Amino acid sequence: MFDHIDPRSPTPIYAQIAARVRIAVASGELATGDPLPSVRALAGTLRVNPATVVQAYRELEHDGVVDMRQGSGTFIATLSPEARGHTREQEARRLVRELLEQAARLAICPLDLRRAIDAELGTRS
Amino acid sequence: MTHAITIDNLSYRAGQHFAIRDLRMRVPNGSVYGFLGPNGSGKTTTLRLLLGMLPPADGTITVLGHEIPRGAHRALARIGYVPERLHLYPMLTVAETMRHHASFYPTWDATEAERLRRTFDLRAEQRVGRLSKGEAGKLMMLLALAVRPELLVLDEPTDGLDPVVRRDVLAALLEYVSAHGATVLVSSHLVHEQERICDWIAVMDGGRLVAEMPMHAFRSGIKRLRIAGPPPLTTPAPFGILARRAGTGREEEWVVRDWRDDMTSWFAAGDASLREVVDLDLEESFVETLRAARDAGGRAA
Amino acid sequence: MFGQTLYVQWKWNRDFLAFYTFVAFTAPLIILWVALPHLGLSSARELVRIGGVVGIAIAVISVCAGMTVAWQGYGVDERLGHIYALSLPVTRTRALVMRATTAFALLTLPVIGVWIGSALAAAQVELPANLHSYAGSLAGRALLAAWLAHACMFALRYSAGRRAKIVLFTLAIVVGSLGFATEAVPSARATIVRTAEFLISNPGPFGVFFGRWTLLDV
Repeated sequence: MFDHIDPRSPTPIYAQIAARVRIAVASGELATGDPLPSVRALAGTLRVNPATVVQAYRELEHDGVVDMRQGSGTFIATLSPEARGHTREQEARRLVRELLEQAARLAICPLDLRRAIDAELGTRS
Repeated sequence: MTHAITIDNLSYRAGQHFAIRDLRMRVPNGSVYGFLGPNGSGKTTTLRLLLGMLPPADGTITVLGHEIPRGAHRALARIGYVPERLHLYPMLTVAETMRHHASFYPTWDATEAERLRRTFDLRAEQRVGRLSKGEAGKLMMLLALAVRPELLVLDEPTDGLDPVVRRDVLAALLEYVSAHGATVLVSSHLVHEQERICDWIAVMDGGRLVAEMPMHAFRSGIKRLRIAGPPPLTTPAPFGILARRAGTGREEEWVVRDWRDDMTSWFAAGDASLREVVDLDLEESFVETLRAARDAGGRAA
Repeated sequence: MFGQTLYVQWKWNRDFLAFYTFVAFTAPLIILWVALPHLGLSSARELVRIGGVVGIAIAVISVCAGMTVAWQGYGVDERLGHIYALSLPVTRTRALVMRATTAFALLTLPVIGVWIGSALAAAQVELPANLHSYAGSLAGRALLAAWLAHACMFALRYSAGRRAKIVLFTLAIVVGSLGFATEAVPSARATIVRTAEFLISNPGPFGVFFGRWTLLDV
């Protein structure tokens, strides 16, 4: 699940970790109550700064995706199907936000972008 | 004590010239502080100075609250050190080395040491002199971690190690750091590795620190801008310019620091158009910082 | 700490110590074995002469053993650039004291060899009454000689590079000028010779090296 953390990417590592967890939850790969790796284990496995892992978990906790239980670890929070749907929606918006940022870097205006999206969606359907 | 290591005005002379000059360094408690710099910039010398192995010509060094070099022996009891090259007695076996090392450190954790030995797959009766480079690296990290240190000082701990060993060594290090909240000072030229594990970064060049700041600030603040049209320098730029180079055609390439996204408006005001804002990874940021520091030094000279 | 230092010193000196112990043990026996056929009816004077030869041999062995152990110990650290020794949480003083005392402990091994060897040799011949403690006293002198030789070499090796050169240089100058004075300045000669005699014979500090190794007033 955490295989492709890229430290060189402009997206901070903690955000990449958090995104992976969100996607896993949205797709059903992780269910309510499933444990996430301990900070210690994940920092070791990914070979990243433990503070980065803590930051990821904290953000997920803040957004209600996980529960951090002192002493037991971090677990996926109780998410109703509506909440899970909401997570999917959050993830979609996050993807769009990234797209918009990249477009801005290439100085592509939102109008051109929308046209491109419609064109792509048109070809797909 | 908010800083594990405090260095002020440090100077060190090797022969005629100053290898280290006016060094100021602050390593915050609990941080993984990365030391980047080209060969010969003085990284190893600085590490040796703060461990009390070399006598400074001038300046003050405080490590874990102890003055160096006077209180070095007291500080060293709480420090795990991994040097650049294998420094252990070659005629001892792995087990004998561990026993010898343990006798000097009251905080030695024998259970943990044994667990690490098995994890690292080191044979107890293997002579240190016959260890491969990877095994030597693992043994040195084992000794440094089993002491249960508050501070780890690592000099190129994974240099020359194959990817599997590098993975094992880093994993053990980071697991320890997570579990015990130790401070780590790691000097390495493996920039991509530093990028993963460090939350502070210091760049050294020619015996001086040219940058010292949290990692995210270093990385996020440095960008490469692609600019077309005449560059507007009528108003002072809100960002720092590290370099200006010719790009393709009439374009110019600027490398800047302390950039924020809202600064695109500064370009909109003038006649120039900002074509692209490129994120630089740590290696590129490091190279640009170094170049800029050297150019500035050259111009000043 | 001390125990481990002793173990490490042992590990890196054991080949030399084995060699010196063996030589120290056999020297008195060999010398006696060589001299015995030429002895008359074990006359006291002959025995004293043999004892003198043994004494010189043992002196050489002890001094070599002491210097080798000091040289070896430093050499290992030197080859490693002293990094490990400097990284250990002990003061330099404590580290040096441990090194020196563990070396002293190890140097008792060749001395025990001396003791047993000379005791066995002495047992082969009929010793006059006042030479009965020959083996013991020889061993005692051997120990002192080894320790002193070790201490000198140790001090030389462990003092910082430039200081050691200064010490050696000063010594050379002092000895050289004394030697010169002895030859060239007749009036000073007598004083110098008397001082030297005092220094190198019992009970002067270097008497252990130059004094008569049979030591008892025969």
